[in-house]
Amino acid sequence: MDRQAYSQLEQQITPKTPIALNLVKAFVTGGIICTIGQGIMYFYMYFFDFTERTAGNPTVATMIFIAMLLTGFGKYKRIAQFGGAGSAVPVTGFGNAMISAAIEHRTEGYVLGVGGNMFKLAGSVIVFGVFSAFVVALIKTILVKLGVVGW
Amino acid sequence: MKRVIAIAGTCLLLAGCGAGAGEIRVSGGEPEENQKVEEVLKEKDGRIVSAVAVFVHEDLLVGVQVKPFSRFSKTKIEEELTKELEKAFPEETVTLSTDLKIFWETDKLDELEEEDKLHKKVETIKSLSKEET
Repeated sequence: MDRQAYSQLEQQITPKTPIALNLVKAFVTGGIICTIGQGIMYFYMYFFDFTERTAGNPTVATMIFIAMLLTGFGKYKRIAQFGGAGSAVPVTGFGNAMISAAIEHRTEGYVLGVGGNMFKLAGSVIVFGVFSAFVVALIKTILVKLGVVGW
Repeated sequence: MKRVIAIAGTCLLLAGCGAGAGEIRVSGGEPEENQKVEEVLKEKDGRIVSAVAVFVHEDLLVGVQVKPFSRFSKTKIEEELTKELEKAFPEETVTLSTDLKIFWETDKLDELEEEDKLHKKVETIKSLSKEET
């Protein structure tokens, strides 16, 4: 069997990915997570002295904390299996990436295992997040200086 | 489980459709003053969903809610409206915000009767509207 025939056979046997269904699932899951986030944001605004502008920080922290707890109790993987990217793209995916790496490496000890590997995946999220924030801020600063948009 | 989700979804949908009845409410000032504020706010009615304005001594506190797509130009709307209200009421200190929190707090001002608490609340709203962090 040559290479071409093999790849043809492989394509025939591989089950088709239900792209449309996956998209819908991801949309619903991500939407529900974001609705919960919005609810937490309103909670902070209603009961504490946070405005729309400042309520984002505690909301993000709370969402990450909830995702960490769910990961620790083994519930988040079920959400992730159903929702796919819908559960990974919101900020809860960050908490999940951190804790699941920590759980995976806990047999190697607390310092070199948990401490050293906790940010294996989440670290890149932080690096790219900080860098893209820097680039966006740079672009916005230039646009504001040119008078195209306001702060 | 499916039934619970269906009921919750319907409730959310109904609540979402029922909320946001647009109105402009002004209180605390002379009738003609109230009228004037309403006129200024109504001029920009294309972008404003609802608004509350309260006169407290030398302060005019305004909470405004804008349409979803006008949210991108919130600061601009704030600046324009503040300028116009300041022109209409030169002797009042105008505090205007499109923030939902300010809108809620200004809405609550009506119910407060005691002078002491009212003053405190006004100060809180002012400091909140300046909050940047």
